[in-house]
Amino acid sequence: MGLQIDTRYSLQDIDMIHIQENVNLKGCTLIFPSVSVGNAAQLAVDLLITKIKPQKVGLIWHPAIMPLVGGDPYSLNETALTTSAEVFYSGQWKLVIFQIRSPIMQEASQDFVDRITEWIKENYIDKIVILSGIFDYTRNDSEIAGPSVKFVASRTFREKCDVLQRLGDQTATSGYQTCSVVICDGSQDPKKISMYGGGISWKFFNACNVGGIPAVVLMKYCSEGDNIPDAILLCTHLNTLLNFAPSDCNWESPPSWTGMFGNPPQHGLY
Amino acid sequence: MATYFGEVVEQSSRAFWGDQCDSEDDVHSDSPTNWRKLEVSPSPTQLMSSRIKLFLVVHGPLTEGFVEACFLDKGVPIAEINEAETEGEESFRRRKRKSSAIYSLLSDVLLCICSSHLDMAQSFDFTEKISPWMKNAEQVIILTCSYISGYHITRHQDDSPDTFLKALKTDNFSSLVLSETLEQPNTVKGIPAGVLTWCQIFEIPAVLYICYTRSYEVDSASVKLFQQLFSKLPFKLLKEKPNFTNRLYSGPEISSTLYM
Repeated sequence: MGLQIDTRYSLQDIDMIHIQENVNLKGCTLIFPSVSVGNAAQLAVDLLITKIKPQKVGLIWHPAIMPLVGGDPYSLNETALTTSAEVFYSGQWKLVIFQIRSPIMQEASQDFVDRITEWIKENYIDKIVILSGIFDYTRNDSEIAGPSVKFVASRTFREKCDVLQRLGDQTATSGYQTCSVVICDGSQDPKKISMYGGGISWKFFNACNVGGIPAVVLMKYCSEGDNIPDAILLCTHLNTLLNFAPSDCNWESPPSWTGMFGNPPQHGLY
Repeated sequence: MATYFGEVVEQSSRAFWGDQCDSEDDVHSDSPTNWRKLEVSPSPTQLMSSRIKLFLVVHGPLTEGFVEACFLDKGVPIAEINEAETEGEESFRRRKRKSSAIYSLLSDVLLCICSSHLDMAQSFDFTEKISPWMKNAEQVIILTCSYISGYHITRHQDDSPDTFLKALKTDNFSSLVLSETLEQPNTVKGIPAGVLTWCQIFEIPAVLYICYTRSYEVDSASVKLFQQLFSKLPFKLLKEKPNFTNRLYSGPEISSTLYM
């Protein structure tokens, strides 16, 4: 008996986020790395996953994300397949973590953002932290003298997060800034908050604001190069916000970072 | 970033795709794309034989050359996948671009040869287009190739072979994997990655074999590893005498890895 097959498809009929384990995401905080300058956000998520060892629970399939596969980036012994966009879950810290390993195509990014915000609401995720790098050279004169880490938070996020309130007050009292905090509401002119080089950071943050999802963009001014220090700073400030590790912890790098800057030299050169 | 003599360092992907690098200078989602949608012909609704044992996806010049030289005659395609034509585009019609096609090698084995003209950005669309066949397959095997200069090592290796095979598989692939696992930090991109990702999500057992080689010249030496691979599989797909005279890739089409 022949089988009818149909090669037509509608993007709206294709599930984007495939959760393959039975987990309850209600009340969790979503950590989302924006593919941005220096890959700082993605490196930071690698450090986070290596530190807290969450469970991999799902995969993402969407035309905005370029397909990529490889071996397990967090273990030399495991043979598990890694794909370009994965979802991790930590019940201990109530965290849902996305890791994205390839560029986001701008043409499909709006649909990508819309569907993630829809998914956040469907799963009753509490709030979202968007990690991002932004171009160092976009800093104005006052910003150059200031900290290289910046929080841009919605009012609803600040109301949920006392730590952010304290970080904002810290600058006023001590005069020593480890970061700057900007509160942005949905009515603010987006051009006033520059996230140049931040990929879809602003688009996603704005979509969360409009959708009533408490969100903050934790961004690091940086340039292309060795962005491991930028990733460490992002992780440190994320930890200040969410408190999942000791404040003086060492951030270990995953095995996949080996050879980040090319193959070792041939012995025959010397 | 450090570079080493003779090593080709691919442009870092970083954050950006094309010139649109930030949502502040955003390309609106309804603006024209740089690549075309794909369509399947002759008809989107087709009859297919009952469940197939193997869906084989071939991507890359060396693997396509291997199939042409060593496989049984594939006959005429049962389906072709082409870029959709926009009405009135004379230049598009005049430009001849090779189609991707699906062939029936045996009653229960299908072969999909991916066109070399496909852009990496079309990987999702292409994978969705062939997914109806993959849904009915007991297993999927993906063959691809890459220049050995793109292979990352973490420590110096003496006497590295000129050609070698590495593999990645889905979590539910339980058959024997006939080569070593592809180690970190090496990755596979594009259509082969899209197909393997799709199989992982929809739990279709699949394995990807990537051949690292110094040249895409198709001869008995360069395809030897693939021949050995298929001689160990329970599918009789190989000719008794391979034919290397119909050379698909030779001369200027084979690009050097020394110069960009």
